[in-house]
Amino acid sequence: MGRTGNLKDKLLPLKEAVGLVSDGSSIVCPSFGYEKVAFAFIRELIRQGKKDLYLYGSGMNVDADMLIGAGCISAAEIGHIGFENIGLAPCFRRAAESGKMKVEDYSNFIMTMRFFAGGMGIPFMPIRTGMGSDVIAYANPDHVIEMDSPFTGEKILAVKAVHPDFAILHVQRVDTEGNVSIEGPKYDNVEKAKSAKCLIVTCEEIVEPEFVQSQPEKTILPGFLVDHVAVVPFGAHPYACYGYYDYDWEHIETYAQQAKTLEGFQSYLDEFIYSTEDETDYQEKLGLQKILGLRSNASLGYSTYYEAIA
Amino acid sequence: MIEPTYSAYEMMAVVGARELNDGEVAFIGTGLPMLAAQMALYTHAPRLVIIYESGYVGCHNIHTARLVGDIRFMKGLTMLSSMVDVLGFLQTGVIDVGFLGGAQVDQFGNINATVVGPYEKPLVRLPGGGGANEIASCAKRTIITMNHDTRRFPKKVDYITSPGYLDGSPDARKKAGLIGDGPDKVITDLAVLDFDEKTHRMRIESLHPGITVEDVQSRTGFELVVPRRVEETAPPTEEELRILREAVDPTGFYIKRRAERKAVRAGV
Repeated sequence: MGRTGNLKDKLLPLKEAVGLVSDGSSIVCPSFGYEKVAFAFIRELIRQGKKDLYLYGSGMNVDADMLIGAGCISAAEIGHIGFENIGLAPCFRRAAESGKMKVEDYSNFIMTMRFFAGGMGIPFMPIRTGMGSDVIAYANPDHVIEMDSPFTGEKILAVKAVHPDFAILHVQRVDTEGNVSIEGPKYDNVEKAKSAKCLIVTCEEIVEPEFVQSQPEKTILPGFLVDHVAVVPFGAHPYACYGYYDYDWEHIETYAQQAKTLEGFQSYLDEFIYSTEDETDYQEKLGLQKILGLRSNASLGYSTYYEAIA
Repeated sequence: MIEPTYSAYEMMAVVGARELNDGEVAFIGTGLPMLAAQMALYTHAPRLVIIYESGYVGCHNIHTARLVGDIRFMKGLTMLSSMVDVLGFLQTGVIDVGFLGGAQVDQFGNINATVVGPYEKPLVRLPGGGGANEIASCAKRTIITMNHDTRRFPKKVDYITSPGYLDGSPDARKKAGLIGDGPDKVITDLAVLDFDEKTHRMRIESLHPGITVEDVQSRTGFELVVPRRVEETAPPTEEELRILREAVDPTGFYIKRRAERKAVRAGV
């Protein structure tokens, strides 16, 4: 039986949706390309002081670093946590180097295919990468092993399905039947969403089913796979939401700079998370001018405002 | 008027671009390879198919992308796909060339992007490879780019994130089950290097202007193969510098940032 039912029964205020995640849960917050990440949900996880979460992911950035720095994560299975051209992820560095956080390193494809297997209802997937490297040498044999193909005898990697307790996804639109419709890249968000035992979707807005039906190729998940929905406009900030707003590069750089020291990281949390009651508060702190500047240009899907005035 | 002097970083971007051929299918990693790929597209390789693991196939972006998943790639994109799909391309052997950075590369072209020091208790915890392992495993050939110093060029990397020629033995990659042919070139701020066909050891191919074999060897943590005749790398032309500065990175996101970091390191 699917998770059918009216959207009314699935709608929750953000704080209540976050409240469903109990300490010790395993989570995945699809996050690639600084875009469509449920960042408001992540901020609220930090406000609510969640502990001992087990983090699954492929390519992760500021989102994972912030959760780790705030003490929410005790262990993770990852493909990557870093800021690409900005540099290393400072909180992840401190947690991993001190041994406070347990890390299993895989690659993005290994993790993506583990989510894929999870969402497909099969125990593992065979793939052709990872072999020969230390990714397999240091892999947990309960999660990733080499095997011979039962058909050809070729050496392949068997990667075990993952089923996180929660997947938390941010999207542009959900319709009144709970169907999820997006603009722009999908990355491995669908695989992650389908792998989880409970799928929570945060969205910019609720739309009529006719709107979704007018462009069905943009529907990535049917409503019967969605457990809970929270309406959180601007909920991906400081990341982008394609067609709606751009990433806030200045904010991301500020975070990267402050997070380099424990004191700096703490003052970031104090200023933007602990001293704000909710997302309305957070957005007021950012200011209307900042938010308007990030609005996507209609012909581009992103904003050139801050580049233009630089 | 284009300032004719150029930075080592600009040299690396231009040389990297020249390694990509028109019509090839190129799987590009983060950092300098992104600049080099776009540079190639704007110069000699307008039909280069640029792929990023985020699912972007055929990139012709008009604003400088800062990440491999940047939504700036949506403008001028040929095909919007997914990670499963494009990383799957690699496994079928259709990718001509992969282009990667990293933190360390060893004498057999193995790349480390995971930890410096022991894995269980790292001295420096690096991001991890992302999709680099699959690129290095499966692309027909791989180009690697890195700044040249002994820490970054150890005899053996602390952790093999992305496989090169592994232990260097003749069939090491094949025995491991890897389908790609392995590292082809290493582009640094001092030289272009390749690999000896028999021993798979790293070899000097060409030296950047003003650099000697001794300069390169003294900043490498293992003995390089030095052929009898070593060419000089052709410096960037004025046209190449103009395209790089005015079309590929007009806001200086990469070029200025690198110059600033260098100044900080030098204590300027």
